[in-house]
Amino acid sequence: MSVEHNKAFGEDEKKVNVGRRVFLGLGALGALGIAFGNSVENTVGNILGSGFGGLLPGGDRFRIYSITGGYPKISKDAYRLTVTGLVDHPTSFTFADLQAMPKTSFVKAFQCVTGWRVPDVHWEGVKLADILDAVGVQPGPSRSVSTPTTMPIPKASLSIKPDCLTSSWPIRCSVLRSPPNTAGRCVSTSHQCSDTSH
Amino acid sequence: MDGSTAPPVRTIPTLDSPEMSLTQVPIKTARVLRFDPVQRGAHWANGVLFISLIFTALPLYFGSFFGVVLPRHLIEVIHLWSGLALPLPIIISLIGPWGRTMRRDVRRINNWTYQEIRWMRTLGRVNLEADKFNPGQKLNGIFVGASILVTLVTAAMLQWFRFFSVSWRSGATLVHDVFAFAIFFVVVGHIIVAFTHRDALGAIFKGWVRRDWAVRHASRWLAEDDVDGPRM
Repeated sequence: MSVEHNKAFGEDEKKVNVGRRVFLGLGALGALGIAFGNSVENTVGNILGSGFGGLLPGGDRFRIYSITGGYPKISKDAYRLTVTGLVDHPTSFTFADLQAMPKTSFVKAFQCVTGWRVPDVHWEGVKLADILDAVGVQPGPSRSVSTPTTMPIPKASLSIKPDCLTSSWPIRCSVLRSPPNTAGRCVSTSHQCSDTSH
Repeated sequence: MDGSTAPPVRTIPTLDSPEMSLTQVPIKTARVLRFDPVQRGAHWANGVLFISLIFTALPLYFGSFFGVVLPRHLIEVIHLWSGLALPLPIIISLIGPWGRTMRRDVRRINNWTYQEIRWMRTLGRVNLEADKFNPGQKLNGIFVGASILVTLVTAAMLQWFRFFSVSWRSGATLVHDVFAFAIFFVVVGHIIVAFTHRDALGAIFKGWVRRDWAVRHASRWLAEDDVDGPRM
């Protein structure tokens, strides 16, 4: 419609509720992003090699959550991986013991429970399954591995699946009777199970 | 309009009757009230909260900043509570008897004429009889309102993530990140425009603008019959 037409018919004064449209439009965009952002990012990631997170400045990076303000320094000689609980042989592995065990490495996305992820992370270490085989897990209903610490943070806990792998950072394992609280999926930030990419 | 808000008047002698008579005409004040104290309070409360959110977001997102001034956990708590508090200034300023001007301005921001839509589409290349806020300012207001809602919803999903699937948590993280960046650029642009338009900037501190500014930049607003001088 021309400007002259609008002026003649007073259409310029008619009001359009732009506010509501833009508001709802942005809200819909947000809702779609919540529901489909993950799958769209996966698809884009397969095509381009990095998702939208890579396009944002500083995206696709690790976000360090710490309430202690630092990391403990442990020398290789002092390091011990102690596995206790419902096992045949409670063992304390030294770093040399772990280095002697077969090593597994792969490249997989790091997925944090709060939602952010880092693609193409290089994981390397001893399979948790190999360690559990070495100590001999006692048979029974569901078993979970938990990592108690002396610091006041929630325990990390994960269900045992044969293909769960762990990275080689220091954790203390106890095999408990309590059922896992993650519905059978591994969502601890220390590792990624084989098929949690959705 | 009730009688108590009728504009102040003065009497002038006129020649429109057989004898010289006195006529009452509205006083044209040199200053016009643009933002009442409620609006100014809501704006500065928002400003403080947005600055707090942006400054705490930097170490939370970029990681390497953390621990420089405050421990990360404290930064996270400040960020969360600033965000939860963010809708409050707008909501409080709108509801209640003190919200008349604010409610009217929200209606003004939402309802656009075709002339304003055309001005926005052509990026200012057509004539415009500007309202109290030009279409760019109106769009800024709508965007900020929508962004507050979207970031609040996604923030709730990130904070209380147990109720949502990992897929939705990832989506919420992405949406929160994207909208946070958009808000950052809009706020920076808002501050830049504020400092480069000093004649209008005074209004958000003092409440009033000069009438000749309003004649040039917001003529349609002045034509409304209850625009009066500042209560000072």
